Amino acid sequence: MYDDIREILRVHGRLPIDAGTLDIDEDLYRSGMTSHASVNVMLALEDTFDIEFPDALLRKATFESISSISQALISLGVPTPARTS
Amino acid sequence: MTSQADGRFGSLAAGYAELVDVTDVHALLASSRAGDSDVVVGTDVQEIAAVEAALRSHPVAYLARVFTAHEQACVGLPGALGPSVAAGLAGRFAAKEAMVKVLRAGSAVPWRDIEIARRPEGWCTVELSGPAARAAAAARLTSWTLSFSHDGPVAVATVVALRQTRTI
Repeated sequence: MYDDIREILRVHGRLPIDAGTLDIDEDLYRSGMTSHASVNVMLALEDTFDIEFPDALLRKATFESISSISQALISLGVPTPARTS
Repeated sequence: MTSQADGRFGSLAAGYAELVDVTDVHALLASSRAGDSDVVVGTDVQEIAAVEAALRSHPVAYLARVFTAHEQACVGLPGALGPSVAAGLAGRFAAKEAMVKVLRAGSAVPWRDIEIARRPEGWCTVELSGPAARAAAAARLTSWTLSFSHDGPVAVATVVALRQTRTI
C-alpha cells in the first residue's frame, strides 16, 4: 500500500521532492503539497483502491501524510500494509 | 477631521468595495476600533489550470467531493465545462482555503463545510456548517467577509474576519 501511495504522490502530489524518499509520518503539506494537489491525490486514491471517501474524510488532514492516508484507506477496508518506511 | 487611522481603514474598505458589501467592512473595522475585537485575515491563490485538469480527469467525483450544489450552480453547472467554470471554481477553492486560514483550524475542516454563497445582490459570502462552524465558534469569530477574483492563470481570495477579544 505504501508503494502505491508514494506512486500516487509522485504523479499527483506535485511535490518538489521525490515522494519515494518521504517518511510515512512526514507532513506532506510542509513538504510542498498544495491543498488542491491533495484533492487530486484523493481522486487518484479512489481510482487505485476502488474506494470512495465519505464526507467525514474529505478534509486536508486525511491526506497530510502517507501514514494518515494509509489509516484512512484501512478504515475503508483496504488491507493493512506491512509497516516499512 | 479624519484621523490617520480612519484614513487607513477607509482605504481598506474602499479596496474591497467592488466585490463585497462595503458596509460589512466598515462594520468590521468599526468594531475592531472599539477594542472588542481584532481583525484576522486569510489569503489564498489557486492555479486555474490545476482545476481544469481535475475537471478533465474526474469531472463528477471532483465536483462532488469539493463543491456544494450551490457553488456548482453559481459557475453554470451542470453545463459545458468552459474556461469560466474552472476560473469560478478556482476562485471558490481559494476562498475556502482563505477561510481555513482565518479559522486557524489547520487541516481538520471538510471542504464542503465552507460554502461560498452568492447573495442576490451579486457578491458572495462564506457560509459555514459542521466542523467549520464549530471551528469559527471556538476561534471566537463573530463575522467575516470575502473577496475573490481571477485573472490570467490564477484566482485569488481574501477573507477578513473579526475575532472577539473581550468577553461581554
